[in-house]
Amino acid sequence: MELKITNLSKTYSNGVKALDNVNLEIGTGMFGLLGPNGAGKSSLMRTISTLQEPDSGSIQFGDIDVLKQKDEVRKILGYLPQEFGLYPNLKAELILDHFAVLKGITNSGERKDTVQALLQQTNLWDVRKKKVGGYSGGMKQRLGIAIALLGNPKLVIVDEPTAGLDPTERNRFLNLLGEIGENVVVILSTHIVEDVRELCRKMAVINKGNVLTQGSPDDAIEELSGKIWKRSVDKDQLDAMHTEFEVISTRLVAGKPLIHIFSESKPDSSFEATDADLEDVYFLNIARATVEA
Amino acid sequence: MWNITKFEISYLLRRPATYIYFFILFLFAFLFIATDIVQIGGGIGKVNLNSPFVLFQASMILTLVGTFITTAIAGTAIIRDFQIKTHELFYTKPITKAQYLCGRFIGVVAIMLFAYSGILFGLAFGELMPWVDAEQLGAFNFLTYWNSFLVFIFPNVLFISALFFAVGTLTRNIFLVYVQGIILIIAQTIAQTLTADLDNDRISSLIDPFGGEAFALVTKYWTVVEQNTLQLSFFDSYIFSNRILWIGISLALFAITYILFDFNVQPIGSRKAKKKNIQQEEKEDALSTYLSLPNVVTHFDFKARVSQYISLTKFYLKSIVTEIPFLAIGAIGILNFVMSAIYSDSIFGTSTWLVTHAMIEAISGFTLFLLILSTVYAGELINRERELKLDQTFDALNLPNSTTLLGKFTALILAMSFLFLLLIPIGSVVQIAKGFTDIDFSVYLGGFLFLQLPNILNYCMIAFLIHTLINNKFIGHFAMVAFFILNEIVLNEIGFEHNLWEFGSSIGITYSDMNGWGPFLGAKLIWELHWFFVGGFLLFLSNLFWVRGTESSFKLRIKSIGQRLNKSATAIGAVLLLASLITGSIIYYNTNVLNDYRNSDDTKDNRAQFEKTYKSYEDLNTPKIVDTYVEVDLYPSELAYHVKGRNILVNKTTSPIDSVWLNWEKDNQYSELGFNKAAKEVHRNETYDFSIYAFDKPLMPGDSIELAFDFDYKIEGFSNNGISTAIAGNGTFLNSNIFPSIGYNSGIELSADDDRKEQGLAEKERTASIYDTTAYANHGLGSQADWVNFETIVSTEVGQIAVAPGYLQSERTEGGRTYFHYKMDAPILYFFSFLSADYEVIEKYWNDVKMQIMYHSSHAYNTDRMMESLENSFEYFSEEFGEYQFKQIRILEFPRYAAFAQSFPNTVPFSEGIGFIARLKTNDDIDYPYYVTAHELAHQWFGHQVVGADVQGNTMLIETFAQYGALMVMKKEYGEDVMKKFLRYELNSYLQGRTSERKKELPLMLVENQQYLHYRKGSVVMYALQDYLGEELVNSVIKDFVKDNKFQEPPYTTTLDFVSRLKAAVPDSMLYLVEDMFETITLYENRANEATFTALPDSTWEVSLTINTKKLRADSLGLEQEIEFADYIDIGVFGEESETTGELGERLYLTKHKISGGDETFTVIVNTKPVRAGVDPYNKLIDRNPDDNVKRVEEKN
Repeated sequence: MELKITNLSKTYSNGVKALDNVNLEIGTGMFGLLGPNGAGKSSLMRTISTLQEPDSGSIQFGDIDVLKQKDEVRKILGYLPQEFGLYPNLKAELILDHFAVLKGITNSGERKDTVQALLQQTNLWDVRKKKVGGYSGGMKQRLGIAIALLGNPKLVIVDEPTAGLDPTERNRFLNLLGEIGENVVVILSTHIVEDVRELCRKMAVINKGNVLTQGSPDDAIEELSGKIWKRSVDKDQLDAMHTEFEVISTRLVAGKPLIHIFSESKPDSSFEATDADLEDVYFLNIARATVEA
Repeated sequence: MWNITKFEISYLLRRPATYIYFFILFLFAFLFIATDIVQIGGGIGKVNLNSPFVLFQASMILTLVGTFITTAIAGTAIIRDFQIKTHELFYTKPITKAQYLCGRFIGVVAIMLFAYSGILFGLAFGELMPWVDAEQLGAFNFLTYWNSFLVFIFPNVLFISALFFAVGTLTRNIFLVYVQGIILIIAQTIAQTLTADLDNDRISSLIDPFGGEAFALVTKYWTVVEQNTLQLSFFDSYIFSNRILWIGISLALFAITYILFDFNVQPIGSRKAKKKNIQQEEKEDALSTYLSLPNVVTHFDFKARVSQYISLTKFYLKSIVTEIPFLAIGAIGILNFVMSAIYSDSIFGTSTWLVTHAMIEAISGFTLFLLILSTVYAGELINRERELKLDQTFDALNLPNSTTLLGKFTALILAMSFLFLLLIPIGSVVQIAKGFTDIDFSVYLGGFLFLQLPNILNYCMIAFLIHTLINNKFIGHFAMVAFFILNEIVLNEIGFEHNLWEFGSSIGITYSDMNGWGPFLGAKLIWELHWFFVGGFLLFLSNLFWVRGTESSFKLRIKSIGQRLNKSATAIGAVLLLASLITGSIIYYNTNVLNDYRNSDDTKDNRAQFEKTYKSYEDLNTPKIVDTYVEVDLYPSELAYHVKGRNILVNKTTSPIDSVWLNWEKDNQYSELGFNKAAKEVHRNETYDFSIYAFDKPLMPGDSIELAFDFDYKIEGFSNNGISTAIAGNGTFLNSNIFPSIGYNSGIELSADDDRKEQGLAEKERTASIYDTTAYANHGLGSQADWVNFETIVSTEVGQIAVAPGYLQSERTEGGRTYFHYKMDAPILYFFSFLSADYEVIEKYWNDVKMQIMYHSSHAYNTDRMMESLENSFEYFSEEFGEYQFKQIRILEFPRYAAFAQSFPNTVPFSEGIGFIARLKTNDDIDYPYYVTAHELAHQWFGHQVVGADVQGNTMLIETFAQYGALMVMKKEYGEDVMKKFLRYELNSYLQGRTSERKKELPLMLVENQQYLHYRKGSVVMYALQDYLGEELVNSVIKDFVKDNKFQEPPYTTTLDFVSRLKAAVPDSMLYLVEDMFETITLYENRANEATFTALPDSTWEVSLTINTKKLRADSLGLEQEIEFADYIDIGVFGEESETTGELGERLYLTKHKISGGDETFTVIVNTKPVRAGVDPYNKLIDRNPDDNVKRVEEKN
């Protein structure tokens, strides 16, 4: 199964261009969709999840025309929205059971087993009889993914699930995502580079509705190998650096800016080589896109 | 602090909602004055559209209306900070709690005042509209607006703001904020019901937070002139105490809010909850394995949809019935139901047996709660997932919109039905608690299926559509209110009166113990099916417009309709539409083809046209009926009857009659209708069903002709108003109106002044002047005849007894039918009744008069009392007013489709709705079966022996005298002390009746069929008359009057004759009474100011009573002027109350003193310790304020 997105565009009524001729091919396994806030990730996710209509373009999932055969997509879809709530007065077990029915698991024996398995594997078994209004952010996200995984979905869409989680909870959640089977298409959108680095074999970087790059993280890093240089600078030098070099990121290390630049060869002796990582890929793409715009 | 206030004000001023509230209130007020679309109290008759009274009342009511819609302003002032999460910013700023809260609160009050000022602007603006009839307007008076503001708008706004601010701030529950307005109104309604009893005036005026009760009390007896001129002052007694109390409570509420408000981040009660956050001990996750989930099969077939639907229904049902607001509103509704069940159907303060249909009526009061709950919860359910941010998860499921919609809808219907069904056991418990055990559950069930369930369905279906289309909960609630105003008021006002226009409306149905559900259920079912299909189509539309996904703009939803309209959806929509068209056509066929339908404007036009065209025929000489023979065959089970008969008419005038106007009825199938004299039909009117026949040779004075008629009548289907119940399965009650009649029918003419004006007609006098001697030719009970011979054969189905005036000659059964032959031995009025039902009969003789009561088998409660009343009344009337003209009297129960008793010659039809199910518990209760029976029997003298000319005062001769007869019989039975309670009701009814007079109040002897005069004032006046002059003297005048005028031929007598006889009989010193009571409108204002006692050594008590009295004369509009007087008025002193005394206590002293007004003091010595003392303590005189006549006697210090 493969998800193929072709020439997808969407402009909202307030004039914001959320998707600008997006083309993506996503195979089974975990696919990372990386981009800053407002890049169009959620618009893309919602469009794939049948929640909104694009202005143009097409989405194909296997034999299913996603934009036309919404009900078919929904049958095999598991979707965890970016920001979501639950019935606060109900217990996790009941909510999961309720959604299991709505997902078409109408056989009560099967439903019971599934709910039980999901509660155990999302580590919510012990709190299954607690009202979800009292759940922590991580527990809520895990219950959310449990809902998404009901009914053996073939297409799982997880929109910014780690935002707002503390490191322990984030780890736990990513581990959980990592356990989703290999033959399922899983799309994880995030603005956190580590999420992608830790989980995804394929990825795309998206900004302002445009796909900036796509492929495997390793290939992308390999491409930059030997082309990333770093140095510490004074704050008042920053502007000069920007005009002189292709600065891709600036971060403070012990109160002093440390810049990474892209250059085919060593620019001068003040720079030292550094191993390219996924963050460099991400920032380079974003930075280049910003310059072009 | 002022910064916060300024911030609040400018924030609210930037919100469109603020202006919407202003505009809504403005619009209500404007439409109220400038059009008749909005009806909230208001002036009637001669009261100006903009009279101070009307404007005050409108301001008051509109502040109540505002309560519904402005909760958001005050309620959300603080919550808003939490919603948009700015509270942490505010709470950490260097401002104090006082600055924060006071600032916000003052801002809120200011904006609320702005919104509510819409009322005053609307009223004022409405007044100035050029099309408003200048005759109905008084001068613009700024003072009225200022007083409205001071008395109602400001205190009410302050109270509403304080309450809502408190609720919103302390609970921070947005749902509670939205429904608190509704809860407040309900609570207020219940408080009003609880204090509705007469004696609780002071308390009920205090506990109404909006001042409505206080206003009602202050203005209770305001006459037309007073309503047009008097101002309301903040400092009026009731008003002042109420307003000060509620301003105080408002400030106290704010103080409480201030004290309880924690200038911190958590709402009350939630800090603990937060701690309960689940502290999970996390286990180490086992890494690197794949999730192993059992393989499942997902089903999306029809069977799966059904189980999903059931699951959703259960899910939402459970969530609704466990929610606090649902339970709270439901509980208040149930409480309200219990209250109205307990107090239902009390007449003169006396309760009835709680038969099951009375409970059905009490349940109908629950409809308001149903409306509220369906509106609120349709909004809740539709928006639930979106509000919980669960919508994206939900909408990405493969779950058709229709499954979700139907699940939610069904849950709501079940929740509502659950509440209604709960009322059945509760109602039964109330019935049993009140001693009624013969509970009829089939009536409860019928009520649920035919009255309540359709309402539930209709309200919920429209609520679902509106909330889906609007897609904003709060505006959705607005839209629902707007829809109901449009549906139930506006459409009707602008001429769309047919029930088919008004969603959910249909014919009214009444359950009667005698006739069960009668003919109604079939028609009702068609109506309800129709609305069910229309509503189903609305649900279908909701499904098309259902919001799914993250884009909800209306444009996009319309775009997606195409996708949603697949084959099966289109088919379902088409079936629903077709079914509503078919049922609608069936209804239309019934209401407009089988029966006549005209809207009220057309009817008015026609009636005006009739008058303009034919008025000249009114003075045409007509022959009068002298002899009636008629065969009436009743077919109760077929709702049909056949009439065959003839009337003999005589030309009693002195000139020849060459043509005659004959009224017929288009619903009758005539096989014969005509005269036994050569005549041609020269004119025929199919709208008003009459023909004019010209005789070939005129009918000479003294000559007679015969009018023969033979026709069938059968109820065909149902009309827009319902189904006639005159012929009924069990309990038929027909009268002489079914026969063809002679002459121009002035009853068709428009009577209301404004209708006539609209049609360009001059105002019409209600009755001919008492000095118009040409009108003496007819009596007040009809112009068809003077006195007629009467003979009839009435037949009905076996098992029923058919009764008509006259003595039973023979009874035979033939072919499944029973024939009753009745004949009168002396002429009677042309005033007959034909009744038929399955009766139980009791009979008894008074001397040689046979008394019978025929009643429904389960209604034997009071038949003995009624029989006793007949006996005692015969005793009294025949002794005091002259002999009874018949040898029998029959009281006949008829179904409660009408609630009256009416006296026909020796026959009294008496509704099951009054008296038969009365439940008399204590001696204090007014025994109205006894009273009504006596009143109706008295009509055999006043009405059937003496009948006045059809001029002013004629109803005094009939009704006032019948009241008098009944009062005297009651006095004899119950004693004077119990009479006080009855007379107080009568006095109250009179005083209130005159405030809503449409044309003009008249002195009693000139009464123009005004009920508040001939019954209510009549009772008070006649009772006082016999008290002042002695029963003997009054009775002797009446007796002579009857003797000299009974069975008279024209010219008929008038009140002039009676009053002159009375004047001749009373001593000169009492002549003023006749003038006060009959010839003028005279009122007193008597008051006991102070009463003290001193214990004397010889164990007697000296009572000193200071009183103030005033006497007033009113003109026809109620303009009152004080006059000088020196009248005899009771001074009374009373002791302890006991079971044998009335509510005043043991009578220690009661003597009439000559009193001439102003402050006076009386000293009286009594032998028992005094408790109360007063002036006119029994309220014998007409007193504008009867409550302050008696005071408790205090010991003098």
